[in-house]
Amino acid sequence: MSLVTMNINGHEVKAENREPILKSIRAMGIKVPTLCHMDGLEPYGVCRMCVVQVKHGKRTKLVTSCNFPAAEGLEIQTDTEEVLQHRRMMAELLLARSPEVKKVQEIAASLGITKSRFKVAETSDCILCGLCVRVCDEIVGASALGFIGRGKDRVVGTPWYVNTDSCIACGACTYVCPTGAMQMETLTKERWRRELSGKERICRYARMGLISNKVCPNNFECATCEVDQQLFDEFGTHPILALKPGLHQHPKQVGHFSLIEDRSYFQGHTWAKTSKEHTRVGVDDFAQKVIGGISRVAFRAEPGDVVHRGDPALNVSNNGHRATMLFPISGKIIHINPALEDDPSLVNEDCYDRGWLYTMKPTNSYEDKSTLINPDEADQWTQDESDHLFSILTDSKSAALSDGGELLHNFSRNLEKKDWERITNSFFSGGELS
Amino acid sequence: MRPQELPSKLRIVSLGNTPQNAEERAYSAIQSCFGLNCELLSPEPPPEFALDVLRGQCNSLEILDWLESRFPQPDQWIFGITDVDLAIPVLTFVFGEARLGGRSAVISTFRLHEEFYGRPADTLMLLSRIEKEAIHEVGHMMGLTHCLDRNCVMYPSNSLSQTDVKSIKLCPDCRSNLYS
Ligand code: SF4
Ligand code: SF4
Ligand code: FES
Ligand SMILES: [Zn+2]
Ligand SMILES: [Zn+2]
Repeated sequence: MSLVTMNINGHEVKAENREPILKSIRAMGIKVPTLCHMDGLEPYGVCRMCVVQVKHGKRTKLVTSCNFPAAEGLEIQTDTEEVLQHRRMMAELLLARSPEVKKVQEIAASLGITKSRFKVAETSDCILCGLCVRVCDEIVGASALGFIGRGKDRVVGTPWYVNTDSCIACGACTYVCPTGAMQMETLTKERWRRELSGKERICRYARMGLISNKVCPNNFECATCEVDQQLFDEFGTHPILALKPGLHQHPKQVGHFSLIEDRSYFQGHTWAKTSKEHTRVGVDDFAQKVIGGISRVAFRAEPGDVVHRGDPALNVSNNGHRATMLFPISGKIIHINPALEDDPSLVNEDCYDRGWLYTMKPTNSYEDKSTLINPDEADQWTQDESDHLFSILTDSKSAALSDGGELLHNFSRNLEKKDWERITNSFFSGGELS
Repeated sequence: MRPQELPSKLRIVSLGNTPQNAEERAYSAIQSCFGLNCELLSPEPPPEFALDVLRGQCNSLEILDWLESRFPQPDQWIFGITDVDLAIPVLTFVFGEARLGGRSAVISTFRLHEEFYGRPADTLMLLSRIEKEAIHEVGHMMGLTHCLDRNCVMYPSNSLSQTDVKSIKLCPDCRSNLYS
């Protein structure tokens, strides 16, 4: 893959050649409304909410950014009057077709539109974004849904009309549907499954191969089922979406702790997430939970400093206990997170996003790759760290493992000093004296 | 951490009023999974000594200590089943607790009953949960830690649905770790 240089709203940016420009635009923090786009699915370019203006050579035109490929020398404007006018027009058309849909109302309102000048013969909650069709085809691999008809008569089809055997009743289509038009109840397949008897009534997650064969005890009412809840909690999204690499950017649960697979982790429970511009670092959920209600933080480095992996990054205190968190990578500090000085509890609330610590320019990203714990090893590592933590917490004579329950919020507050020290030494800052 | 040696016997004891057949089912599950020589003991009273009055739960770690001193033979392991609710200081409750590579474990049937969740009693379900929890805790005594495979009996259960989802078997990795 080669890099190209483009210009977005007057700023120079680098992008992979031919990757959709929406990605670079969003990476700059610019908001672009989208309806038919989902990371990880082939772009479809049908809702036209994501239009931007592109100039290549002498020609200027409006394009859908979700599927327009990056190229050397592109000049992109994301909110010219022309762009906004086009988006408003699309929003009005959508609002005429689907006046009841919350998502459509929201997007329209964000463009200043509350009423549509257009009239349609029949309104519908389905906006034909094609997400259900694509998710079933590209991710589930069942290809059970399709469009039927053309033009304004076009509707999403199959399960309503044909009792096809290819639907595995996974529910991915209803999960990705932005309007709620796609309902499990309307899939006749699902009704049919309820008529199955005894041992044929296999849980949908068993059919997906996620759990070993299990007969559904809950009449396929997945929305109120604990099994369903558990798998959603574990994966942070619809389980079948989580299984496709690159799609999974929600925290997932490993025992008591959460992880995100879009970044690498350091032994001292800090993380590093690299984007094109910089690498962001922060503390992980394990650290955040073990330290408990953070009342004060002190940054140990400033913008401009050059630091090494394992150097002290942050002192944290939780009314009484103190710990030092270490840098996961070597590099130069660009920013510190200004929000943390006012509100250190952001680290507890949102350690993977708003509670970040520093942005840095890494010295040697290649070396970072090989020394950090990468996302596919992070599950096992977190499980092992969790077992290790419990063996320390339960160590009256010798280590024990406990099964069940939730970690009590702020549990470390009641630990004795020597236990707390053992924990900070084992997990956060082994060598560093604080 | 693996045990120094396998026990000459694993002794199973109920503490309080455990559900009918609970010990017998634990006995046969443990025996068939690990091939340990098991023995049922006569029941002991409920573990009132471990009660945390504020929480209304018994401390499972104290029960392990008690079991080890009540049944001190170093070459025998001791496995308790109780109907009281268990917890440790940092967790809201526990289904069970075991010394890793050690000689004591305990499980509670308190939260394995359907009735606890406001649903009608289901004896088959209850006994199958008891079997899974028993094998899981003995797995810890045998030196196994938690497994990431949600179908493996060594998968940690933070809630009952996780116990229900997992099977009663060790996954191939855990099985090979047992004897490596
Ligand atoms: S429920 Fe059926 S139609 Fe919907 S995504 Fe799954 S397989 Fe496809
Ligand atoms: S209701 Fe629960 S057990 Fe039944 S199919 Fe849905 S998730 Fe599986
Ligand atoms: S998001 Fe680009 S056209 Fe729909
Ligand atoms: Zn366990
Ligand atoms: Zn396993």
